Amino acid sequence: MATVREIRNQIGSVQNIKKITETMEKISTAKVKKNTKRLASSREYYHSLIGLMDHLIQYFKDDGLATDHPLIKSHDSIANSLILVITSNRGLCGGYNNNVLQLTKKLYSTLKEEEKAIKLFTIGKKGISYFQFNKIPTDQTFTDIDDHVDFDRMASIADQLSDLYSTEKVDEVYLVYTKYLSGGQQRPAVEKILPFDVETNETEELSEDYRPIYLFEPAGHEVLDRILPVALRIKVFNTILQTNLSEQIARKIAMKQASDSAGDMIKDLSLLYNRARQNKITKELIEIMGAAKALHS
Amino acid sequence: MTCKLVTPDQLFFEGEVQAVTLPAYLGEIGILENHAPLVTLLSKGKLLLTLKDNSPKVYTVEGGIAEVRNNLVSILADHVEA
Repeated sequence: MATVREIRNQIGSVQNIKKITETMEKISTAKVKKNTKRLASSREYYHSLIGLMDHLIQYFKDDGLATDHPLIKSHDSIANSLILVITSNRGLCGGYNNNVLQLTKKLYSTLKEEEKAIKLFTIGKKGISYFQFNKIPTDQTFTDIDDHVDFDRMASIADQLSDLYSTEKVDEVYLVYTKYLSGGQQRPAVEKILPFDVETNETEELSEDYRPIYLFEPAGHEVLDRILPVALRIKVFNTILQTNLSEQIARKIAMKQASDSAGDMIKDLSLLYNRARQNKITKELIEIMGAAKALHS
Repeated sequence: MTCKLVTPDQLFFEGEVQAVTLPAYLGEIGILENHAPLVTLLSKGKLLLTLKDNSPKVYTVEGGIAEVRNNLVSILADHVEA
């Protein structure tokens, strides 16, 4: 049985760990708040732009203008795929990274089976080390993407994707990330972001009899040329915001659980400590009484 | 007529307006109630909103796109300064 001193040390270190996890939980709670606000304030732009893009695509559908656009048109043969995975730079967030990476691996092997060449872009140190460990080659890595990422930074990554697609270096682009559904629900998701899916994006209907006849400045196809890359940027940016928020929620939950189990552990150890202390006292008493008796006789 | 001014990180303005003057691709455009549907790229310049009580509200915008439809003016700017 452990000595009193050993147990006391153990309680001390568990208490220290608990302090750390509690602090991390508090930090994550604050970050969740901040990121929720960021996501909400970018949502307005996101919905407006995606809505406008859908209108324009439908508007140009009849002219064939939209379907021939380099970012919308699917390539004749699909031989090169690109996967952009978003993970976090830091751990201690439960199954958060693992879930995304498992999904990526599944997508990766499906594409491999279809005999496609795969380019892998990884955001976050956790993803990078995972692929290194599993000996899966990555083509580009980004480690500077975190809570403070701004729109321009994500825009440069999105533009890179647009370039690769329109120069036909890749034929499809997938995004693997953690989707934020609500405060209580986030889950890993795969989304094909290029070519732009014209059919399934119809969020808002344009009824047949009401179809606005737009005036364009400059000409319609120039507007379309300009808006599609922007739509991709905001899509990628929005995804990053969702992922960052999900990461903080995952960390908050993981740290809460860690603090709770540390609390339980302290309770168990205290029980053990008191019993050991009592035993020790009893033993000493017996010894003293034994000695006194021996002296008497 | 409703007007909405947003950037990727922020909603700057949303509300009822009488008139909007915005720096369109080929020059300034004034938009009043029941304007025809319009989509335009934005250049750099001043955006003037005339509110319901005739008070003006001025922003500096740079780049982006604006859509007018159904008496809703959506201004999606790359950068905005109040």
